[in-house]
Amino acid sequence: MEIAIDSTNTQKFTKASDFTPAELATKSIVDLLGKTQIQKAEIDGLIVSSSSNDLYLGNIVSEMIGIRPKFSTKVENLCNSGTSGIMLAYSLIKSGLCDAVLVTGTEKQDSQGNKLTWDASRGQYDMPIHWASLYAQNHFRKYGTTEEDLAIISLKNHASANKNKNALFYDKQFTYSSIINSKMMVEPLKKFDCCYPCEGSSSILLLSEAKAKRTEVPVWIRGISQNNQGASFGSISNDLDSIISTRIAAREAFEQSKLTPKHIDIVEIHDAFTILELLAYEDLGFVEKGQGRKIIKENTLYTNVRGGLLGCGHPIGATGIDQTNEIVLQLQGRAGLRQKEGCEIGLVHNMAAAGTSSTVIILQK
Amino acid sequence: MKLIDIIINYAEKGILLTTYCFNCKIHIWPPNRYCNFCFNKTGFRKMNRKGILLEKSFSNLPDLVGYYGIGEFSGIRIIGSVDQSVLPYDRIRISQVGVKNNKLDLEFSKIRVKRLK
Repeated sequence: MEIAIDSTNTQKFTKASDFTPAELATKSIVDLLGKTQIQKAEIDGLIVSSSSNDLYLGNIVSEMIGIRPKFSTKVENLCNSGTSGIMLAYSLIKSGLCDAVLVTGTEKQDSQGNKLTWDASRGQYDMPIHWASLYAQNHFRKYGTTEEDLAIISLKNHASANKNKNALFYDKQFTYSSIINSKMMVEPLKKFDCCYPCEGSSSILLLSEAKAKRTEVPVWIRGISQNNQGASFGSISNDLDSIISTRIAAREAFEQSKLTPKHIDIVEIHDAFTILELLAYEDLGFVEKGQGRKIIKENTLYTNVRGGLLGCGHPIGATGIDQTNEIVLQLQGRAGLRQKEGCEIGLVHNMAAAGTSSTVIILQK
Repeated sequence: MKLIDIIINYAEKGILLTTYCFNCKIHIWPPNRYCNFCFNKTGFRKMNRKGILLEKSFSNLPDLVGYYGIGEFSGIRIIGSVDQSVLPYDRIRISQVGVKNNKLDLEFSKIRVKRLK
C-alpha cells in the first residue's frame, strides 16, 4: 500500500504568545481541516509532536478539535520529533491500523527540548552550539571549508525566509556583511550561523491509498527511514567528519524509493547551524565527503527554500513537519512566491542532538 | 542515589569516576547501571586520565569563555576546557576535575614528551 500526504498547514512562527502548546496545535489543525476533502470524522489517528512538558497532549488536542481517533499519542524525539511523528503515522497506515492520520507539531520558545541535560559527556559545554562548533572546526581543518562558505548558507536561507510569511525572520533583511560580521559565538560559528528557538505549530495529514484517491494532488512517500546512534555526543561516530545517523537513514530511504540523490530536485535540510547543512549535503550523498561547499558555489540543488531553521526559527516539535510541508507544497505547485518550477521529487532531512538521530523522507508527486 | 550524583560527589573531591563493566572491561559513559553490551551490572572505576584530543574550539559564551575540546580517554569521549597550545590529536591528560553548576568541570592539558638525554 502506498501512503500519501494530502494537506498541510503551518502557523506563523513567533517569539512568544499566550497560546498553550495544545492551543497552537489546535489552530493549525483547524486551518488544515478547512481545506481538505477528508472529513473530520474520518481522522482515525492523531499524533502530537512536541518537547513540551504538557502531558497527554494527543488526547487533549483530540478533544479540542472534537475527534475520537483510534490512536492518539505524543511523540518526543527532540529536534527530530516532527518527522518521528510522520514516521509513526506512516507505520500506522501502512500496517492497516489507520487510514487518515494527522500529525501536528507544537512548541513554545522556552521548551525543555532546547538542551539535553542527560548528556554528561558535554560537561560544562552543554549548549548545542558547542558540539556544532567542533564539527565545524573539524571540517575547516580537514577540508578547507571557511567562514565565508557558512555565511553564504546563512544568507541563502535568510533570503529565502523573506518569501515565507510564516518564517520568524520574514521581515528581516540580512546581508552578507551583516552575517559575516555578526558576533562570534563559538568559533567558527557566529550569531547568524545559528537558528533561533521560537514557538510555532505545523500540521500534516497522511492518508491511505484509498483515501488519497479522493484528494486533488496527493504527494507520495517513496522512502522514509530513521537511524539512531544513542543520545550522547560521545556516542557518535569515530571522527567528526559525518553525521552517521544521516548517512544510514539516507541510504535506507534511497534504497526503499529506488531513487538516487541525482533524482532529487529540492531538499529541506536540518540547518540548526550552517555547518549542519554543509555536512548534510555530503551525508545525504549529493557530493563526496569534504565537497559540501560545491553545492553552495555551483548552486546545483534547491535547498531550504522555505528559509530553513536559520530563517524560519526552530520550534522543536514543529520543525520536521514544516520541513515536510514545504516539500509537499513545492511538489503540489502550491508554494506561492517560493515555488520552484519542475520539481518532481523532494527530500526532507530532520535530525536531533548532535546528530545522534536523523530521519530522511523522499517524496514524489 | 542517582549515579550521576555519586560521580558529581567524587568529582567535587577531584576524583573522576565512571561506571565500568567488569565483565567486558569497558567504561560505560554517560553512567549506566547496566553494561550496554553484556547487560551485567556495572560498578564504579576511576578513569584513566591519559587520552587524546579529538577537536577543539573557542567559546565566547558567558561563563565559558576560553578554549574547550573533546577528548577520548579509555574509549570515553568527554568535553573539557583546554589550553590554547593543545592541538587535535595531541596526547592529553585530565589535569583538573571539578564541579560547576552541578555538572562536571574538567580541564585537559597537553602531555609533554620527555626527550631522552
